Order: sequence, then structure tokens, then C-alpha cells
Amino acid sequence: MDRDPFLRKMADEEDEQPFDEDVEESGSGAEGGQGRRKRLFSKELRCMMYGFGDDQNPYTESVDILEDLVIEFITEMTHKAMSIGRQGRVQVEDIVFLIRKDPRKFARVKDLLTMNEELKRARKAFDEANYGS
Amino acid sequence: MLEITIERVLLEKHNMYLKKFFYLNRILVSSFSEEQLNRYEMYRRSAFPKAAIKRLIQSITGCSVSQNVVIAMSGISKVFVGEVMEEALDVCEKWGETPPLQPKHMREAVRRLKLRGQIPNTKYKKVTFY
Repeated sequence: MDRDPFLRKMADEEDEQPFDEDVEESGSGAEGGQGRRKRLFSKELRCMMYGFGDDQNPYTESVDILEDLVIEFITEMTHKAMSIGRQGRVQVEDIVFLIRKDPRKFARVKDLLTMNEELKRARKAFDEANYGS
Repeated sequence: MLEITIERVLLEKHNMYLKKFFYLNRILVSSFSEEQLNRYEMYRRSAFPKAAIKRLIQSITGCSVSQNVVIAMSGISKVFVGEVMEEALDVCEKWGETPPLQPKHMREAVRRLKLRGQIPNTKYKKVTFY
């Protein structure tokens, strides 16, 4: 897949220093290091990008860059979580601890976990009411 | 006695905050154009597929992880995407350009976030001594 001439021009204009080794993949063919991984969440990321303010049809190259960033983020978090608390395992407490200084992420995790608990409780109550415990 | 009172006050304060948020949010959303409504729906509903996230985490840890871990990780990843997107849109606007965002916007956004320490990059510091 040849790069779009427009994108090639942009690449020439940038300084050639890669901002991150892992994200350097572009175009076709396997590269050293990360190589060409199969895309994991292209569809979902497109929707997310539109939701956050991008065009309804984001550029594929930008989606790919974001996917690589997300995978790197998750990888970093996972490794960090494995090295604290119970070694070699990832537990929620570890994630909450790692994120404690980031107000947005911290609040989000608390919200999600609280909502999940309430949902589980509600479902359980519903099941017991309908089918007996 | 005093602890119960403080706890009640904090709880009430939190509830009032939520009520205010939902009230204002409802007024805002009711004023949206159709295009804004579409975008807002995508903003709320978009999410990473749980199975893929779980597979990714488990491929790194080598052991299974709980549902809560997947929920937490998906959640903060979406927040992370939001932070990159906001920065990239700022860059795009500052350069006098418009969406769709181009790789150069994404790269510049990451560069700025890194300077502010908002991109984790320890390359998995391993604990040598316990």
C-alpha cells in the first residue's frame, strides 16, 4: 500500500526523528521491533475519535497511531501493575493505586467499578425476585 | 457521633453535585443540533471491545485477570484516548488546520503530553530486590 502523496509530503516536511519507536509503523511490510500487528480495535477507535471531536471519517493512519498508543499504554500499565502488590498478577487495586495521581482516570475507574457493583446487585435482586434464590 | 455527621454531609454534598451535573447536562444535551447529538452519542457509547482488552492483558501477564480489571483498563484507556484527542485537536487548531486529524497532529500531541508527564514511559521498571 503506497502512502498517499499528500501524506508523503507531510512526512517529508516533519523532522525525521521518530517520536516513539513503537509507533513508527506505517505502510505495508513487516518492520523490525513491533512489526505489523493485526489491528485490534480499528472500528471502535474510529467511533471514539469522532466522539472526541475528529471528523466522522478519521484518517486511517491517525487511527493506527492511536491504536499503537493505546496498546503501549495498556502494556505499560499492565507491567507496572504486575510489579506492585501481588507480583506477577494484575489486580484492580494495583490499577487504582497507579492511577491515583491522575484525577480524571482515578474518578473514572471509581465510577465504573461502583456502577458495576450496583448493576450486579440490581441483577441479583431481580433474579431472586423472579426465580427465587 | 461526629464522624456520622461528617460522613452524611459529604454524602449529601456528593449527591447534590451529581444532581447538579445531571440537571446541567440535560439542559446542554437538549440544546444540541442533530450533528452534535450524533457525536455525543458516539462519545458516550464508544468503547473498547472487552474480549480484545482481556486477551491483550492476559497475553502480557500470562495468567487470567478478573472482569473488574478489564473494566478498569478499558475505562482508563478511553480517558487516555480523550487526552490525546483533545491535545491533537488543540494542535490542529493552533496550526490553522481542520479535522480530520493527521498523523503530524497526533505526533505533536504525544510530544506535548510526554513533556507534561502524561504518557507513561518507564519501559517496565523491574523490581530487582524485594
